[in-house]
Amino acid sequence: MFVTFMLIHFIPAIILYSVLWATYRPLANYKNGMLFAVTLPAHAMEHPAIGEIRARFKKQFTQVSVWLGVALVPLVIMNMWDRLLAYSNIYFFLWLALFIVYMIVPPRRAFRATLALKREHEWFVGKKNVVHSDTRVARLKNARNASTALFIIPLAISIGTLLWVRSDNSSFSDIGYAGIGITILFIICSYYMRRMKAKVYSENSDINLSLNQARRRSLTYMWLLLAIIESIHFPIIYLLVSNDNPDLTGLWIAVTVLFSLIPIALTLVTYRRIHAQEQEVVSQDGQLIYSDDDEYWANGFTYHNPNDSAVFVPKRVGIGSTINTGTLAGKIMAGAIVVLLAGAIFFVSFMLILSELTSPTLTVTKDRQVEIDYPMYSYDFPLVNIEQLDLVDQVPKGYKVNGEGTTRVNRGKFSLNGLGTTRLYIYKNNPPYIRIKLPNTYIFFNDEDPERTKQLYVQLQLSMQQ
Amino acid sequence: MIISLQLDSETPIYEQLRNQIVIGIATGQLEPAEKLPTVRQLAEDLGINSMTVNKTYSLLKQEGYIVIDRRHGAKVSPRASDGEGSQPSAQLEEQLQLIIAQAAIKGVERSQFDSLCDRIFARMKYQPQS
Repeated sequence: MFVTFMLIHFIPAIILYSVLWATYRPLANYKNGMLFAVTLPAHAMEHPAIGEIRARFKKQFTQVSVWLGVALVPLVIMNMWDRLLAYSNIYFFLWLALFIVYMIVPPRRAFRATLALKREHEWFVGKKNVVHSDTRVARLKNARNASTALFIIPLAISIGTLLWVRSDNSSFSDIGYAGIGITILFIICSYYMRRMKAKVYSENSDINLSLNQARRRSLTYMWLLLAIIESIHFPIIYLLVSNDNPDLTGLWIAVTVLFSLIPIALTLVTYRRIHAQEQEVVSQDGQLIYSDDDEYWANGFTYHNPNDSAVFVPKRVGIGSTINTGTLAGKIMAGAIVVLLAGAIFFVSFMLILSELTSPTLTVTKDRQVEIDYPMYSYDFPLVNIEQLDLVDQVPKGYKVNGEGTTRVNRGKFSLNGLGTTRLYIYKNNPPYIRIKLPNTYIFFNDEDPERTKQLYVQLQLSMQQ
Repeated sequence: MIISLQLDSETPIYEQLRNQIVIGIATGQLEPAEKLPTVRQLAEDLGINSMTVNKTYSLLKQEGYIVIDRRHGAKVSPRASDGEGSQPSAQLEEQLQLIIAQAAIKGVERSQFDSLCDRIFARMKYQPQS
């Protein structure tokens, strides 16, 4: 029980804390001419009001972190009590939403205060509403990129995986399709990266050209490597999922974790290297070009600039790119992300509550059909298809393919040792179980009340004899 | 060369872009026969509409500052072969008259204006073919 809590709730919480602390806490330091994502001249740092904003931010950020940590305590209790387990996920989603909303409050307040102070004292750096472009960079920025043709490698691996999985065990062909989908997603990311604006660092065109080309070269190779790693990840997932040996579960977890860590590490290393390179070159150059675009960065981290036709722009805080909500495409994307996220959280919470409140029912209809009714995982078959009907005390071990597997119930599609793909509608450790053998699959069904299971079994037997 | 556009200026963007490219050619920041980015590349980099860049390029082509080749894209015109001592055109005189008139009204002295002209002219690196 405690292990599930650690895996499902505690580790994600720790990751979230680390990410938000690593992203927002350093904003209180004056770096790259910015404090709290506001561009400021160096002399502004000596102003006492800036010191106050910094101190207030540090205090509030720590306070919010501690309070949200305290709000996690009920989760431990919920995880220790079976009946509350399903609600614990809903509680976790709620906590997640609150966490994201409240952790951003202190940096946002600090950003607003700093921006107001900047306007009051007219601490502008560079010109406002100016866009720069270096004609040589615009022409040659993508000249040293990884060739798009190299994406043939991950694409070939993914297509190979799909063909292999389909010929081996077609019920897992989703894994093959997912692999191809991920590869295509990386190709799209790489394509948009190429089309992103070049940055004008300096009056010196050579610096602009070398830094932009180096950045794009690193990033295009990063996307290519990510695509290759993921295309190898999918056949490995298949190998481990189709393996019936439960002793390998540890290996499965280890490989999955490793393959999720490699891309994160690769991304961090790439951006760190790019950043170090920029710092080194820029610090030696006396002809830097600044432009003040603070007013397009609402809250300091969301970009809204209708004068800019670029959909993706590099972030100011954290790594990667963000969407320009000033463009139509940006608006659609931002809206879609919000709707999808809200929809997914709502849907998952709804299904979790539903599965807790409803239980599967098995009925024999007048036209001699057996109907198993359960949200998402209903299954119907003709009575005559039953090849064998038994009452058993044991369900073979196996793993979930698609469905719900909690400590109390197993419902949905599972793959069981010796039986292959099986449909389970059972309360665990609650024998007896009705075992139905169909031409291509097995079904296990029981009621929470063992007496009721026995009655159902007798009823099915009678129906078959009619 | 580095192009900087003032987005909230009264001068239209296509005109700012045209003026800067002309100055870039004259000051040597753009070499004769140097390749220019394509319309799409420049529009993407400046975050402006590609029609705007297209307008600038066709204007520059019309005025003979750049040539557009269907295969190689746009590039700065090779050195003009008019030779030295080409006579100022009537259009140039007209434009200069307006500027001098404005300067005279503002009380700029003749000598000050001459030295300003000298200073600006000294920045022009463009050498017509002799």
